[in-house]
Amino acid sequence: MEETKTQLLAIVSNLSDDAVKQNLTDKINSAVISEELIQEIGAEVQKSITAYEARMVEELEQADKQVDAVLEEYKRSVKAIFKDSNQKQTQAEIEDLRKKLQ
Amino acid sequence: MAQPEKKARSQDIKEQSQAAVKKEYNSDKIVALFGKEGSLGKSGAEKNKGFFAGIKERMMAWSKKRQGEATAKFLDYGQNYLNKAPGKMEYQKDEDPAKKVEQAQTQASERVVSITSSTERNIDVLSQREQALMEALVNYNTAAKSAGRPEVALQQEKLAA
Repeated sequence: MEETKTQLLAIVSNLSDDAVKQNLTDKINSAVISEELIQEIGAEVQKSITAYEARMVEELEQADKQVDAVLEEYKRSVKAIFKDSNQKQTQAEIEDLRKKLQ
Repeated sequence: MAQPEKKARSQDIKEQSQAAVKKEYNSDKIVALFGKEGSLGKSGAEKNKGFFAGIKERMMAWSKKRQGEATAKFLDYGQNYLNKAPGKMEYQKDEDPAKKVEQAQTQASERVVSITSSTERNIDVLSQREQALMEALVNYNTAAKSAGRPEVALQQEKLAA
């Protein structure tokens, strides 16, 4: 019994939802392991796997948006450095700038 | 702990687990629900490992690709601005626009690296937790199967897909 409880606790300790984790831990520690409890743990395992994968995808989507925002901000910064104008720079100055940036 | 001791300890734990499960699940009414008979054990654990490594690799590859794309865009954009410069752009004579663009590139690149690195760390943590969950599940299933208890494959079907 104790070994099985230990194995179930190991499963529950890796669930994604802390409240569910605590609830199931309390049940395992305080009650005889029933079929219902095992089924409940199984359902929560499935939910946790879905939740972990959804959170990983969410991490990527958020990062994607953040990188896009950095790109836009960078473009604004570059625009702010140069101003539209009819005034010409000398070709030598332009070539000098190109070399510095390469 | 030396390797033979580890092996002996591992075997001891396995036997204790099997005995405990056999003792507890002595009725067909109680069916462990985490795996189907025949689909568990070492091969299941190995499948899990490959599955999670696959997810993580794909996500990490995306992160690196995004980082590379962003850096390339920074460079292209700055260069394009300079290419348009003759007759169209001006800057203050007391400023060094090349240096400013370079600084903007550096800052933007650092921010992208920070974002993607943080994402990689978070994905790594989530992936490890998910993998630990599945390993605990497989350990339980293995003990239940060894004790002669058939089980229902919920996660295993997914992992095999």
